[in-house]
Amino acid sequence: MKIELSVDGGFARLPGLAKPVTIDSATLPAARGAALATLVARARFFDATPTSPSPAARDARTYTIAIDDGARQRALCVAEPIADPSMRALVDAIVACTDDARRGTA
Amino acid sequence: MTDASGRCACCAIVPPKVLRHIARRGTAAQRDAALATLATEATHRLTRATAQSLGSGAARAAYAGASAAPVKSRTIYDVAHRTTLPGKIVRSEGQRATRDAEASEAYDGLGATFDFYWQAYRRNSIDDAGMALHASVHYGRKYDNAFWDGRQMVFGDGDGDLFNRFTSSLDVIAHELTHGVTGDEVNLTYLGESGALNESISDVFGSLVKQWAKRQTAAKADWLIGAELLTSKVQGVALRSLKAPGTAFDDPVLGKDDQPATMAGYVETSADNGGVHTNSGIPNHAFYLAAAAIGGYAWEKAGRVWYETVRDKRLKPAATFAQFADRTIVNADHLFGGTVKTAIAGAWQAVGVAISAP
Repeated sequence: MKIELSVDGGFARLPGLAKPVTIDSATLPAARGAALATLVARARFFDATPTSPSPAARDARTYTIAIDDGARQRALCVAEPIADPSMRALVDAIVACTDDARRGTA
Repeated sequence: MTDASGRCACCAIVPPKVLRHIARRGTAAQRDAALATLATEATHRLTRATAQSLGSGAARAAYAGASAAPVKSRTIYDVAHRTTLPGKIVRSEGQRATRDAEASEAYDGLGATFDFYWQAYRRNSIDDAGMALHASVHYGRKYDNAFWDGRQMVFGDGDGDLFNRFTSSLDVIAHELTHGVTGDEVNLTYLGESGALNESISDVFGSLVKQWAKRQTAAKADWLIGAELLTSKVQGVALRSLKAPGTAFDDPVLGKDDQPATMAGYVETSADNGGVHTNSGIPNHAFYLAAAAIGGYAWEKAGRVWYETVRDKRLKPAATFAQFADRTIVNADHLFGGTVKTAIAGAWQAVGVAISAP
């Protein structure tokens, strides 16, 4: 499963953190890759409704997540604050993986 | 003669036009009193209009007490690393501090910002009508951000690797609260130039609150935003610099500060609502140049002109840099006259914003 994350906006909007990062669950430790797959399923990623930032929100982030699991492909926009705990858990896990990839600590 | 808040008691019946003349031509004491009264006038106008619309004795009584110093109403919530706002109340107004550093910093930071707006501009909270202040801390896990959701402030803990907790910088707290002020006044559209103005106004008053709290002159201030946020691992001094946009950081992970200081470097992009956190460097730098040229405490003159411009009914939500600049020049002339007006006009010209105000 390949996952690409782009983060837009935010008070700390910084060029290095705004670049899209792609991770491949096949290259992650097995447990981490399996956990990601579970979170994708729990969040019903391929059926979830995209969300837009509140018109009154300022400095909130929008995450664009593209996932290719071999059988399906989808890009989904998720705006903060993320109310769905399952989607929040998925975003947190992807952000953690991409942060590690960006810092070379994966 | 002054009242308990230091305002000129007789100024309460003096027309604004005359007050503006006093502010320009009077002695130092007369000018201070006239400016304080002009600042309070907006608060009274709102309260007075409300009282008149209600027409009740209770409303008139409320108006009679409106000149007293306002009372803060802060509530801090702990989201406990989840994201469902606002979370559990951990401190309300007047309660003792807890051991939670983020909650304490948020409480104190909201208090400092509230006090700044009242003492510098006689503004009573975000809506100039005593709005309660709400902030949530410990949002998400290792969350590297702070935001205003349209009703309250939200702060993450930072990842501890590149970012410290987002309550650690007073200017960040003031930045987010100022989004509420701007939203209550002109509500600049969060896109392109008007969005960059929206961001810049939050940076300007974020920096001014820090300067005011430290009693720093324009010459002594660091003009940095988020200096306390970055850990020692980051090659940089802050997230942004009003004094020198584009120089705040240059780091292998965070990248290089890409804020332009002048219109020659304006970034055309679809990202970040048209670069609202990037192109804000241009009006940020204009404010710095104006404040540096005027000298003294930046919140007194340059800040006052910017504040009155945010409140200026002739400023529209889709304002461009040039339209905002023109209003600052008109307001500078009304409030302070030639020297300040010239300094502000020079600052806008230096950053390449074409002005048309006479």
